Amino acid sequence: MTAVAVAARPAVRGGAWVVYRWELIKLTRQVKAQFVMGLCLLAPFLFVVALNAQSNVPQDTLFGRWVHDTGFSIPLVVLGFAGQWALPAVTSVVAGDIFACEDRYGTWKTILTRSRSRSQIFTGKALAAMTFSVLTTVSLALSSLAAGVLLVGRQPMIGLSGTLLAPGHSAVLVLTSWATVLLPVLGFTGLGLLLSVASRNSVVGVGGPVVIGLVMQLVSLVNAPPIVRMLLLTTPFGAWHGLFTAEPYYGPLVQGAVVSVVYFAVCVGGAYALLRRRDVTGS
Amino acid sequence: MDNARPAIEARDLAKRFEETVAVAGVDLRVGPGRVHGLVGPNGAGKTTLLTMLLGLVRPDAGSIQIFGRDERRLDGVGGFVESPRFYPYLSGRRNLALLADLDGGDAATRIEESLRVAGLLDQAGAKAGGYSVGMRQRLGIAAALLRDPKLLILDEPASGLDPAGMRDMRALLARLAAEGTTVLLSSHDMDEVEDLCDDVTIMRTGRVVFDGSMEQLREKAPDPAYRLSTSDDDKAVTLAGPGLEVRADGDGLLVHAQQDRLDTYVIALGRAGVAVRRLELESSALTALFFRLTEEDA
Repeated sequence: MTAVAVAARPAVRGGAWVVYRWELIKLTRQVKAQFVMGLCLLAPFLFVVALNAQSNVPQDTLFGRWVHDTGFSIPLVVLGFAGQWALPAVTSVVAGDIFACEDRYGTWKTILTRSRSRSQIFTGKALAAMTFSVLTTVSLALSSLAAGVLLVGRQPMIGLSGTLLAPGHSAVLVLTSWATVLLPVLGFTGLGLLLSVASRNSVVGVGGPVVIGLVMQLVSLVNAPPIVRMLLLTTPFGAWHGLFTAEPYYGPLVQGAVVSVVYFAVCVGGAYALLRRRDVTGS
Repeated sequence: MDNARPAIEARDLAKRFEETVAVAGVDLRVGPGRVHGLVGPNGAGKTTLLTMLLGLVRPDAGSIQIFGRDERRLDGVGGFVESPRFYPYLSGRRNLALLADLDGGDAATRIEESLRVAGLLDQAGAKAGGYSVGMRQRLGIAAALLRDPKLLILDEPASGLDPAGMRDMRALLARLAAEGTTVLLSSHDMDEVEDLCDDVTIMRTGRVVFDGSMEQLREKAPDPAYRLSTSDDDKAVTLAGPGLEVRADGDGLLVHAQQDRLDTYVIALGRAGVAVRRLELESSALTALFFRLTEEDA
């Protein structure tokens, strides 16, 4: 007998694009994706309405004490909450399910016996999950900024060094802060993809990144060595704080970007290798 | 496509799942334009063999050529293994549109025709999640036809269909075969295989125990078996003449005989005052051979 090499199906031009397009179409048909997107758009407004109905403010949260004074503090408070668990949860809703759902529906055999290679299917699905992650993050950012500006106002805000930041500058810093979390969001997306492929189980794929994120939060709360904290995927979610000092510091942003990219590359590479080698059996 | 080449040529295929040997050194050759049956009991390795042919499972050893190609290209190949499955939140037609896009080319232009041929045109707008097993089977056939296949690989395509659906499915396969499509068909049902197939491969515990034409299989077939109940089974056993094997088997008698010998035997029973209360075919000659090949000790 001779060992058989992995049979690579010849690529069809534009194959990944077709898969990507269909994954997006499928997402628009799924209630969970609609719900999450709707939540990202509405939740900040509900949050501001709830804050306006009470005199207390979330003082323990960065910029929380100014939620009644300037609308630009709202997206930063939301970002502080979201970075702890909401963004990992929101991104993993799709990333953790996008491969495992094929096992749940039993459709791997249906799509893998068509004219697209596993590489193209993986690429299309991974891109769709990344698109969803970016879109939900951007939606949450814009929605919370809009909610703050519309329901509280566009008053100048006070930076972390006590300097007054003009509304235009505040808006730029807010949007930049949200932009900095896109990389760790994609890191969690990669983690969701890996768990989705490896576990073949949507519960593990969706819940796993959230649990891992919470564990990382716990590790960062205990007296872990700085190197450990630096290597946690949750740490980059707070790297934007340095943008709001009189002398901005970018070291955490660079470190966070590197950590996020490494997480993403390792997780997505691992998921790809697992899918390529997988025997698709069972109904 | 070169018609002289076999549609499928698999040599020495082997696959093991942990401690279980699913396929052990199987050779399979399916000629172009032939309808080839793949039969065997549960666990014989049929589905594993089909999944390897479709590139879903990597063989541990051996080689596969589809239309003479070494690489696992599925151009011109359609089919499914086990029950075909679809996205439940999309309609049948939308599922086919997705698959047609994955296929590329002009597959999308064949959606309506495939639905019509599979007998699913009226239900194509409904979500696939509400489909019965039989409707999913029909949608699976429609999905296979989208590819305008030169080779159809089907795993128990009549499974889950009602009698009318089974009749339609057989008619469809017969028509496709008549048009020159090569069909590899796995089945539990020897009658189905006998009706449809030119050649047959019988598997047992991962190995091929018969491979040849239906004529060659019929030549090897033993006498068919009949279930017989009489007013006096003990006496009926003593009346068995040459060319008959009659033995008590729980619920009456089991008779192995050719049709003409059986006729003579029944007449003899009547003349001897033994009334025949029930006589029915227990297993056809091919079914009897199937059992012999797949149940005898290795």
